[in-house]
Amino acid sequence: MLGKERCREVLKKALEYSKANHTEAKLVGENFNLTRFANSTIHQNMNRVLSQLQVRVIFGNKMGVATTNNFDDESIKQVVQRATLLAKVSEGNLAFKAFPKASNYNEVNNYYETTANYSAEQRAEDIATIVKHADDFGFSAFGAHITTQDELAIMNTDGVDVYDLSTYAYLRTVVEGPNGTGYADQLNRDVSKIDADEIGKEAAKRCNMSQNPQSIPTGEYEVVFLPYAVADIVRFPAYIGFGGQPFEEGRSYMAKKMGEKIMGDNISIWDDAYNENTLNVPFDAEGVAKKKVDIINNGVASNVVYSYVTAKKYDKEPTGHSSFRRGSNYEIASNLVMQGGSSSVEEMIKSTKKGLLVTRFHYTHCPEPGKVVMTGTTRDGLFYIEDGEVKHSVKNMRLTDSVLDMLSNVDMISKDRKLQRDWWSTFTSYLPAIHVTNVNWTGSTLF
Amino acid sequence: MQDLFRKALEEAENLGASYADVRLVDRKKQPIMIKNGKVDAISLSESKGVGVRVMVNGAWGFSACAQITEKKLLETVKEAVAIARASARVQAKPIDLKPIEGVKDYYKTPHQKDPFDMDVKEQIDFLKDLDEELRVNDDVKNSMTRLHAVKQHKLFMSTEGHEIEQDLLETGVGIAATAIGNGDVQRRQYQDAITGGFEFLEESYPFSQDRDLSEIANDLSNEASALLTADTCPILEGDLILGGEMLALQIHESCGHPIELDRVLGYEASFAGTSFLTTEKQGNFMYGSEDVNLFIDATLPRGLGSFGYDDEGVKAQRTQIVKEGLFLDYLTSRETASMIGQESNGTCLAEGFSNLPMVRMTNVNIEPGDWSLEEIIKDTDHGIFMESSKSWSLDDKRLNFHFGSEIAYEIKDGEKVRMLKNPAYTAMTPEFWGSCDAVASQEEWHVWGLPSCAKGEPVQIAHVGHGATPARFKNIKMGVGH
Repeated sequence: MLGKERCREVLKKALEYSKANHTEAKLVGENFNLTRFANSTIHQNMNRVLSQLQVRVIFGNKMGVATTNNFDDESIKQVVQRATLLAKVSEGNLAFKAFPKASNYNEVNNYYETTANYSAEQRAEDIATIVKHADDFGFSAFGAHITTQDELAIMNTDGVDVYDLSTYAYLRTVVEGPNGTGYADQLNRDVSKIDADEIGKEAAKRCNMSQNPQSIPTGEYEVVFLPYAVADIVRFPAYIGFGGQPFEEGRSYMAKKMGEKIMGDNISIWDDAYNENTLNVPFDAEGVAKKKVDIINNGVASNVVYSYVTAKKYDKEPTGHSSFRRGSNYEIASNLVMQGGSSSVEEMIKSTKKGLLVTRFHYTHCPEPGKVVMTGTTRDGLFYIEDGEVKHSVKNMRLTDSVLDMLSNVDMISKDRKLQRDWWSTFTSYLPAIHVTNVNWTGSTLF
Repeated sequence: MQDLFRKALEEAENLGASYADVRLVDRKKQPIMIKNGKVDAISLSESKGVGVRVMVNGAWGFSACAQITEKKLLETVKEAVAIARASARVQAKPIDLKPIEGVKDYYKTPHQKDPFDMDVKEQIDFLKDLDEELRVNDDVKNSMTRLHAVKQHKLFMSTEGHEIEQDLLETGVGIAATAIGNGDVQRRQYQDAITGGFEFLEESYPFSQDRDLSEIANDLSNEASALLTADTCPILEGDLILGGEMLALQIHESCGHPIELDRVLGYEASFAGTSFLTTEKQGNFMYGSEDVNLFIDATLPRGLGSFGYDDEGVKAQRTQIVKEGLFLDYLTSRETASMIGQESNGTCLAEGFSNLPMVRMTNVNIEPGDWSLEEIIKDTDHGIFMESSKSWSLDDKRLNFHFGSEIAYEIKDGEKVRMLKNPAYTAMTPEFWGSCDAVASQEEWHVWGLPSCAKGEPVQIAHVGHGATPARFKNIKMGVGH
């Protein structure tokens, strides 16, 4: 973490040292703090303070890229020289001749001193609170507590000069009993909104309900998915289809179905980086201002998101979705919001004749991207519902079904929504619970 | 650097650490990507820094810094000690780290042609030639060729007297052809990497019918096209034959991860999951059939998971994991090994300087048998042969799994009769390995490099190897619908 002034100083030097037609310098930094716990004991506890400078240079229609994490003058000169050398051996095939121009950036409130100043001792206290709830049932607690600051500074010779400093906190736990587990998590930019007591209580209660699970036959069931699970359902259409690049290359299901109804009338999903219920950010990894994009509108495939690189290549407008994680050639809809409904989880359970209540999934994947078929097993709380009541916990099962089909058969959506990561933290989205009328379950586990 | 590190270790001890290690990693990556015959991305990435790990009151603390000055390093030591003291606040019992003897040594990856010393243009031309082969079939609308080149200099020193330097080099390639047509999209890809140099990419491969990368790319192009009109893999239960590349992923997911002892002990319970191979099973659980012999070995020449020493200063070594089906041992670190009364087998590794070392795969391998793929196919009345991974999903104890492959062939009366698309299979891990009745021989055995093994929080990417060869499994449920 260098701070705004030092970031600008480093970036200015990089631009000054470059002899390219156009130059972009970007600094990505973090002060990352993580405490992990297992068997009610802290077993990993770390801090790292990192910053990385990336320089992209354009000569005519050739581009080169180089990065370093050293910021003395000599290192900055060298990274510019390396990018220049790589541009020279590159080929003249760029679809753009300059970097993005400055946009009108919206103000966002995404930095909280409370999170930035949270100490290892405070994280340990939160974990002790969770462990106490597990102890009350004779169970053990496992999990992780993250409090982090991220900074992103971008400057280019075409006018972009932006800086964003943000924070987030994430606390999650799996509580384990002798014959079952329970889960809870909370994610927020402001650590003071994270309630360790509530998380511990929820996970321990769910773990208690999960003891002594029974096997039930595979086949079709109606299902209530909590937002933890919905995150894994939404991540596949998003990962495979919401980006501009696979759409333009004709590889994604969205490429075949744009303008057509692919989900139910009651499903609307959009990307809105200014929504304070998401991990809000003002601009993307190329300094392009974020735009709100309606992706699924009342079940109809409506739009995809674009990075500057893809947009220029296909003569589209960039939407500010260049990826921080995977490089600027890729775009990601990282602030997804799903339209809420008027129901509640309790009402969904009451309306279920014979079905399942799913807390979350583990290691989901997509064996048939064309049909957006997802497969994955449940974990940390699977329950059988009959005649509107939760009857007993169930040994974990494997779901294998088309997400497009599932989201065409949603008949109830909760009013309450939750900021939620999927199991692998690929996406962070603001999601409701849903009730799906029929879902295909193809396998069972032994626990 | 050594003098600076000695000061840091002394400072850790002065602040109350019973153990400390300091680890420098200076890493360079030079990925080059060609898409549809044109350079899509070319970059050089460098990162250098120091990770400090300390134990205070039997609890760990870790901090990392990129500025390698005495002032910054001593601040980092102080931070690590403070974190360790916070860790000790929530602890059932102190960690028992049995002392080991300090080692002074140097290790270098054997190689002939360092990609970082080569003319970049030569590498681009090589990749473009491959990319052209990927597009020989007109149905291929997208081709991608990617060079994997990573170089690391490491220095590890500890309060136990370690002073180990290593220079490690990795080279590999990923190529993919995506065909679009007939209302479908099908992809064929090939990926491999080694510890070694660019010379590996210029060879022909005995484990792959003596094909070189150019011939492999040509085959991928035609296979991607043929898949567009292939029949969908039916839902059935029968003999499954996996090619070596697919078996490598099977080993990775259903053997490599479940034998990570930290996972077994619950360290990954809230994220990557645990393992069904709990400690009471060690030495008395049949993991597979008598044809299944598995071992880990970080000394295998060219294996992507090979090195001189792990990130705790333990020498690279071989350990038998499964012998004639019987489960024997785990991948271990110093901390986890002591919990089951063993010594570390040298598999504690970190990505870069800024992450905590944890139990990781090195090269996890199946011992070759005495069949050939041709003999296995001839010996099969009705089954499916699958190759190249497309999707993978397992439960959080690694028991129930569902894997998809890119391409398959139906086998009838000992012959391949038709190509199948979207193949998949599902089983429970011990039953699956228990049904293995044929493993191909050394001639088709190869250590497949997998540079994308993810684990831990924050996620760390390990580069691992899997020695694998074709094998057959009986009575397996196949087809995506299963």
